[in-house]
Amino acid sequence: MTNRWELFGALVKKETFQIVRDPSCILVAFVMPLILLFIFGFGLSLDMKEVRTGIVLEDRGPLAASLYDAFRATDFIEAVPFGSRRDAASAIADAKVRAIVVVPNDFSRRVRLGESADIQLITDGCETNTATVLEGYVTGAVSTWIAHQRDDLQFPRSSKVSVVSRIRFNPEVNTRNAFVPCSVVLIMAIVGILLTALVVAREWERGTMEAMLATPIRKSEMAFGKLVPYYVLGMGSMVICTALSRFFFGVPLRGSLGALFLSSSVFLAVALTQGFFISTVTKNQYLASMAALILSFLPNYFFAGIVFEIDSMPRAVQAVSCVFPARYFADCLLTSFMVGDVWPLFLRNIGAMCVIGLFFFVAAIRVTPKRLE
Amino acid sequence: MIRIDSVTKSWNSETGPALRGVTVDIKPGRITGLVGPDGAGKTTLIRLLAGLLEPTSGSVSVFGFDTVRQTESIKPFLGYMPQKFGLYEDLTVLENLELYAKLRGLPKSDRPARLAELLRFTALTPFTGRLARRLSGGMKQKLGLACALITTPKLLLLDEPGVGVDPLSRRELWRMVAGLMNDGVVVVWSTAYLDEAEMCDDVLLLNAGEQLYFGPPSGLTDPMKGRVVRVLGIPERERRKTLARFLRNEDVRDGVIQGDAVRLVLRPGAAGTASFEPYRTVPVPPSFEDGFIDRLGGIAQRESPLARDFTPIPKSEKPPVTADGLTKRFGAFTAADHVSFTIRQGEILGLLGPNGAGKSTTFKMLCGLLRPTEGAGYISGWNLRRAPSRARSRLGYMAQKFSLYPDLSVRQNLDFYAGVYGLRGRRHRSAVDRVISMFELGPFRTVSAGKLPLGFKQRLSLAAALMHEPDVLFLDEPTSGVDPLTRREFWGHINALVEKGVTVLVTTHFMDEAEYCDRIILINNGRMAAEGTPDSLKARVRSADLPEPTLEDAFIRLVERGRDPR
Repeated sequence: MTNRWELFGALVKKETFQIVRDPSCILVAFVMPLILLFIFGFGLSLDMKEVRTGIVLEDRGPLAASLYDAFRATDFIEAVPFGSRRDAASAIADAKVRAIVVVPNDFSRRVRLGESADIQLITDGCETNTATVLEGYVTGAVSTWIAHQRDDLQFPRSSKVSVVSRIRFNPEVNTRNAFVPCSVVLIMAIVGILLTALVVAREWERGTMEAMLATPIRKSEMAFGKLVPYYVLGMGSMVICTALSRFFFGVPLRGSLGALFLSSSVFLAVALTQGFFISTVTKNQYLASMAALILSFLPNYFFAGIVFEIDSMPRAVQAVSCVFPARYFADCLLTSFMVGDVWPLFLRNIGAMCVIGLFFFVAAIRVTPKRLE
Repeated sequence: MIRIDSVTKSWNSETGPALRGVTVDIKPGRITGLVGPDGAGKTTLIRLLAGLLEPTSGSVSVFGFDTVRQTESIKPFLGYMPQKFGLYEDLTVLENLELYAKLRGLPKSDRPARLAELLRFTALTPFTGRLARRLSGGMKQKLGLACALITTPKLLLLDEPGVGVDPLSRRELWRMVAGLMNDGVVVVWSTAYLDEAEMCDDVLLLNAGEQLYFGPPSGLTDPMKGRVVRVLGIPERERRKTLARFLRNEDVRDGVIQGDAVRLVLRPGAAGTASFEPYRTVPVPPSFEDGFIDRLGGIAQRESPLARDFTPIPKSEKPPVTADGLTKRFGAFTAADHVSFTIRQGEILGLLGPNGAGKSTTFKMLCGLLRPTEGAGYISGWNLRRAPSRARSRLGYMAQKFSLYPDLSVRQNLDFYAGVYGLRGRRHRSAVDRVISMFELGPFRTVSAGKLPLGFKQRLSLAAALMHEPDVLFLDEPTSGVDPLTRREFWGHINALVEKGVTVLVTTHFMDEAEYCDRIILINNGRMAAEGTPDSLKARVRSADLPEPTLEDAFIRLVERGRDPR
């Protein structure tokens, strides 16, 4: 009697109109990924440049002055001169500088006498990561300086400073290449889940769900009618993310577009289904958006491999990570960008995502009520 | 036909059942009205009929189909209009109709003709491209009806379609539905408006889930014959005091102010004996509302505690409220056009008008919620623009939806509002204690506001608005969607306040509420269309074919007269 395809088409059309006319959807799908990708792409980096470092020259001799010049010459340290230890100490307390280098009074004298001369380095313990990296930079800068001073005849024997050179490996480029695809995983997880988390809840809040339940549509038609338009929208944000990664951040894309399309389609479908599930359970937009953020953003942040290596987590946590689709998509995406098409890996991960997606789809249909109770 | 067989519906063991043992046979070809106080179970019953809920015990069958086991068989011939109309706000009028046409499986070939017919029928043809969220309340209601009618249903369920809609639109809706009736159609119409119920062929009266009456409305009205009187000749300034005195009389079951008279419903058998000296009484025909209230046991609240405890406001020469040429333009559209009036101390002024006529705009400008483009508003002599906080400190505001926090207790809500009004320390405590004792909220101190019975919610809202002892009280559709009993109680409080010198400005769609006003201003197309006492407005539309016009008749005639010729 009823043409089911036409009915389905009507739902898709309705949902599409709602998307187009609701600026918040466009915001979530297009503006949010842009902002997030820029934040992650630029902000999330373990390397540092121009870390503000206070330099206190208690020794006024020419040797100390040339050491100061050496600090000023490196790219990693922005040398800020201070007149006394006390001034420098208050600056580090205010986080105006990240570290202090003190060249003591007797520095020149001890060097000339061939004794061991100490340079004091004080780092900000609040930023443990910065502190350790900075230690390397400073020792590096000092040893470079010593190497230069060797030619000088006044320089009999060097101090016992071992050299850890960060300069030669220049790790910066590598981390960004890995960070950007991982950020895309996280962004797509948030976008996908947020898009659908609100839609069913909105129908409950506005009273349209009640009218829908009184019409002859089926639960699965309702579900697909909602998922399809948001899938198209979500793939739009994926295109933006990929283009930005490739052309703006300069991340290589070594795999094929087809493989990328396949893995991101499956991942997006899973994220949308999860959002749909959350929305159906909560029936309340506020609750749904909170649940979406906590259930998707936080775990996916841990398991997308941006900051934390899954392999170095405890076994129990590794087991938990299997439930979150982000880890599989991260594998696919990193491979697509950095390595190329590795089909066994793709298929394994896509398969895992399909299992999770199917679970949530069945669950969502189950919890979709046929009545108001 | 529809058979509701000893249906009980309970949610959980804590609250009592929403419906208990309701047994009714609803006949086709008739409009059945579903009436009762708030929380009576009207919406629950409608949802049971739509198959959206399952009865806890008993059964519902619709044209021979069981609503639980054969839900899918019912849906094709069901037309259901839920309380919020079920419209998609981001879709246009036409898109909403097309969506429901497809969802309900209206064949493609029939679609253009059917949609055109419905659009003409609802007079929405000029607005097909307008988004549903930009429609007025009355237009949304018509579109909701059109969506429910798309496949010419055999069972049409309307859940309080008239809430928040002006009388003109309500009458149009009634005419439309009445025009659809034929032998095969069943219409169930749930309503808080008893004049609507009176027009139904049958009514089902529910109270706290119990069926009190089922049958033609005359079955409730007829026994009231001879028990309703109008008391005439009461001086204008005495009406409220006199009504309060009458209500203390054991022979009186219900009483309302009606223009310059007081209308009383008497105890059975008291009609011949009760006397209301020195005033003259004339018997009048009973209305459905009289039967309704009598069946529910008369009005419970005999006298408002405010009459005893509220501190009278000293007499002042300055008019409490003045609107001086209030004008508001939104771009090229003038929402309010030079509206001017003053309200005397201790006067109730009603602001009436169709949806979108500019009544809310005027009201908001006087509350200081909206800045006038031209003109000025004054509260107790303070200009709302130049001294807004001074002016606002003199007014109390009660919104349509109670602005209470449902999860806070009564005490916490009042504490919050006392803080908002800037009361600190001892003054804070004494203000809260004062309103709690005045409104007799003591026993509910620790109860969450959301769990209060409706009448108490309303009391609490009013208490919050009166915390800072304002001279002026603004009421924005205070009893929209509220049953007559609760409304009587509310107006009991308001009348007591006015006797103490409080000045009241009220907007409303309920015409019997408008009868309580000393003076009415009718706003139409942004301008003041008529002004006067309820009786003088009625007199203006009296004619040979309408010898006894009601206030609703007056409203409709005056609005229609003022309609733009274009």
